[in-house]
Amino acid sequence: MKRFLVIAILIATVLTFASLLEDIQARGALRIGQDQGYMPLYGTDEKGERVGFEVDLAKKMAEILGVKVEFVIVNWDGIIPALISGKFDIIFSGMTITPERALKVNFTIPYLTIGQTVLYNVKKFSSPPKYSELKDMDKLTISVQLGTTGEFAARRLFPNAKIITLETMDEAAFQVATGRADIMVVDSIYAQYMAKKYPQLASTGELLTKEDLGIAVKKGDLEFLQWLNTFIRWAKTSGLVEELKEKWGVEAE
Amino acid sequence: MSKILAVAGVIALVAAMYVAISKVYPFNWNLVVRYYILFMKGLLITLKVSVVSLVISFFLGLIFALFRRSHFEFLQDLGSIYVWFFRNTPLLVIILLTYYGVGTIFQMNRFWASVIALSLFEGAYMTEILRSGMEAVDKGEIEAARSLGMSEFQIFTTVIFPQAIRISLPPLIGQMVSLIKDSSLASVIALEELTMMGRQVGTRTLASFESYLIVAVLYVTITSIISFSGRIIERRLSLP
Repeated sequence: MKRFLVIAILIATVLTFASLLEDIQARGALRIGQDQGYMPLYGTDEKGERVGFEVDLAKKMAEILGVKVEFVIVNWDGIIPALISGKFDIIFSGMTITPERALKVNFTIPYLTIGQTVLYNVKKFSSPPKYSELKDMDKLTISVQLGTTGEFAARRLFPNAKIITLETMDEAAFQVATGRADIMVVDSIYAQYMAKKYPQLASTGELLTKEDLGIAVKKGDLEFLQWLNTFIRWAKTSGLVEELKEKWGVEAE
Repeated sequence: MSKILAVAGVIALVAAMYVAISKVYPFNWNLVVRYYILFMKGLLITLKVSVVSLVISFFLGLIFALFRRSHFEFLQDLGSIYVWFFRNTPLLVIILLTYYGVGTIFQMNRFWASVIALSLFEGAYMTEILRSGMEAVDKGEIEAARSLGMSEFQIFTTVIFPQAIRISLPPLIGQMVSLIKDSSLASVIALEELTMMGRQVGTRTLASFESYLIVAVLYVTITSIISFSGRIIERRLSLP
C-alpha cells in the first residue's frame, strides 16, 4: 500500500510538472537574458534594435517554437541571479561554461569556442605585446568587464597588475581607447570586432585561455535543456551557425 | 516598549522573507565570508571618499552660501547658478562628466574624480542648508552687533556663524548620511568602493545576493553610527 502511494505521488508530480518549454509556448514569448552589448554576438543598433549573431540564433529559436522573442537587458554581474529569480527563460549572452557557474545554472552544449585575448592601444604599444612581456610589466593597468571570465583570467594571469572592473564591455574597451588602462583582457571575438571598428585599438590575437560558450537555463528543467541542446546541434549541422558566423564576422571555432 | 515591539516586528519580517527566499535561492554564506578583506578594503575607500568629499563640500557650501547672501549681484548670481545646476543634474551624470570630461583634460584618477563630483553635488545642498541657517539668525542681533561697532567680519564669525551652524546641524548630518550612500554611484567609474567590491565578490563567488546583503548591512551600520552621534552632538549644542 505504502509503495503504491509513493509511486502514485511520483507519477502525479511527473504529470503535473510542466516544462518551461510549455510555459513559453503558452505565454507566446521566449525571454532572452543578455547584458548591454558584446558585438558581434549581441548589441543595439542605431534604431535601438537588438542585433548580432546570438540575436539571430535566438530569433530562429523563437520561430521554431512559434513565439515572439523578447530581450531582457540586465547588468552582467546580476545576470545569473536574474535567471534564477525568473526574469527571463535563458541566458544567451556569450557566457563561458565554467564548473563554478554550473553549480548555479545548467549549461547546454557549446555553440562557439573562443579564448581570452589582449586588446591594446596602438599609441601605447607599437607592436603587439606578448603575454610573456606584459606579465612582468611594472604598473600595468588592465580593464575588464566585471564578473566575466576576462576578469578571472586577468587576475590569474597578471597577478601584479592593477585591475579595474567596468560594468559593460564597451566601457572597459573605452578605458583602453582613452589611455586610462593599458590593456583589456576580453573574449577574442569582441577584441577582433573592436580592432576592426576603431583604428586606435588592436588585438594581439594571442589566446590566453580556451573557453566554450553555452546557453544557461535554470536548474531542474532537463526537458527544456534537452530541447536547447537539440537546437544547437541542429544549428551546427544544418550550416546555420556557419552562415551567421560569416554574416557577423565571428572568427571562432 | 513600542520601540522594542517595532524592532522585533521588523526582525520577524526579515526572517520570514529570508526563509521564503531561501526556498528558491540557496544561500551560501561561506563563500562570501571568505572575501571579508575585500569588503573591508571597499569600506575603507567609501569612508575615505566620503570624508574628503564632506570637508570639501562643506567649504563649497559655506563659500556659495556667503555668495548668495553677498551685496554684489554678480556673486549672488554665481551662487544661484551653482545651486541650480548641481541640484538639477543627476549625480551619476556629474560623476561621468567629471571623470570622462574634465578628468581627461586634467588627468584625474578615479578617486579624485569621485571626490570632486561628490563635493560639487553635495556642496549645492550644503549651500542651501547653510544659507537658510544663516537667514534664521535673528536680524535684531545683527543690528545690535552693528550698533556696537563690530565689523562685518566680526559679526559673521561671532554672531551669525556659531548660531547658523547650530541651526543647520540636523540637516547637515542628514546630508552627511546621503553623501555616504551617494558615494556608491562612484562604482560606475570602477572606483573600488564598498558597492563595487560587493559586486566583485558577488560575481567571483556567484553568491550575489549574500554579497549585496553584507554591503547593505555595512552601509546601514556606518550611517546609523553617524546619525546617532549626530543626535548626541545636537543635544550637547542645543541652547537651554
